[in-house]
Amino acid sequence: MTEFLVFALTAALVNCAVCGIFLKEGPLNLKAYASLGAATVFVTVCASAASAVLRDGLLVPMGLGYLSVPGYLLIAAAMVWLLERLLNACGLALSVPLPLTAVNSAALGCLVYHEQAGYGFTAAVRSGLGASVLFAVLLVVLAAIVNRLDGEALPRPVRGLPVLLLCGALISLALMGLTGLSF
Amino acid sequence: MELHRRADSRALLLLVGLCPAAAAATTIWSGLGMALVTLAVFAVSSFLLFRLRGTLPDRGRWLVMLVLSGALSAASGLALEACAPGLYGQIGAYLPLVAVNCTLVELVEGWAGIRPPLSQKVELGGAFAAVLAVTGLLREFLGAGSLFGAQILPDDMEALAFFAKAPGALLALALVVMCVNALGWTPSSLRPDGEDGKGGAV
Repeated sequence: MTEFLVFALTAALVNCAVCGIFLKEGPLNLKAYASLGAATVFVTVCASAASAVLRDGLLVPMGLGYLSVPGYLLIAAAMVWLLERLLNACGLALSVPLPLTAVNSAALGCLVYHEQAGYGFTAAVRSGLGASVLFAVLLVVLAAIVNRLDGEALPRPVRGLPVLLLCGALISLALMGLTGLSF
Repeated sequence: MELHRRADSRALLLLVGLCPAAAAATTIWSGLGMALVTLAVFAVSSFLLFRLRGTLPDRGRWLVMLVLSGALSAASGLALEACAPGLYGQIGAYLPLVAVNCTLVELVEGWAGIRPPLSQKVELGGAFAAVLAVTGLLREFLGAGSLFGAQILPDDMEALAFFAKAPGALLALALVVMCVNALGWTPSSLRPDGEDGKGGAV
């Protein structure tokens, strides 16, 4: 189960880096990625709370557990929408040229993991907070690594996707090493 | 020199979906099964979105794609659980991630203005399935010491359990793509416009 969460977070990290590389010219903006990480923390914590309420208060008592995945997707999208509305109301805007859906795979991974692990409301929020903060830190780390990759120094077959996947594998190893921590 | 920064690179559409699918590809059959399920969910949800395109506002298309792909991935999970419980046990946990990646591909296509024709999408799908099958084969051999379910490594030799875990999935995928690049097998639809297909195209 923990391996699923590790992989979901790593996949989200790689997707974010891929979107940043292919859709924006120039180096990745670390401040923008830090704000994207903070947005992920907000989305994941709120979505964890809402999904726990939805699952334990509505879907399970009514025998509609098979609707959990579409429900989680809609909850994650709704939290992204809520975040955008809050930022607009405060006169702020995320300076990221990335679709926030890219981080939904991290949020969705957390939500599915909470269901598999049988977490209640408090445990889900705590787990979502921890996983999303870890994701935010590693997102900035991965963006910094990508900015420092020198394509000329790499063999031609390694350039592009393979080196990103290798970075993702190392990040995934770091995630696996950190999942044993608890407070 | 920086990494690929061509917004029209077809490889982007392929690799966005590869990561979660690679996690499920622990054997060649689970890799092929995950590829088929991913491609089926993506094909059906794209077709339905295409039919609904005239009635949807541009800004709401990704949300409809999210709902469609989420419902289809949940349905495919139920179907697999009923018809192929063994395969469901291997790939069922990763099916929800398929929905997010389908939505992400739709968003990226609209954002970067990439609309590959059907022939290129079929070629992409074939490349996707082939890469996952080979990744599954590699992970099965290195991580479990077996091929097509038959134990190859003798009992006194230990397999590399690392390849059965999440980091090993990404490493195996990286090795497969590196080999594809080195041998120059990149399909034309995966090469950025104006570049040749020799190495480093994906």
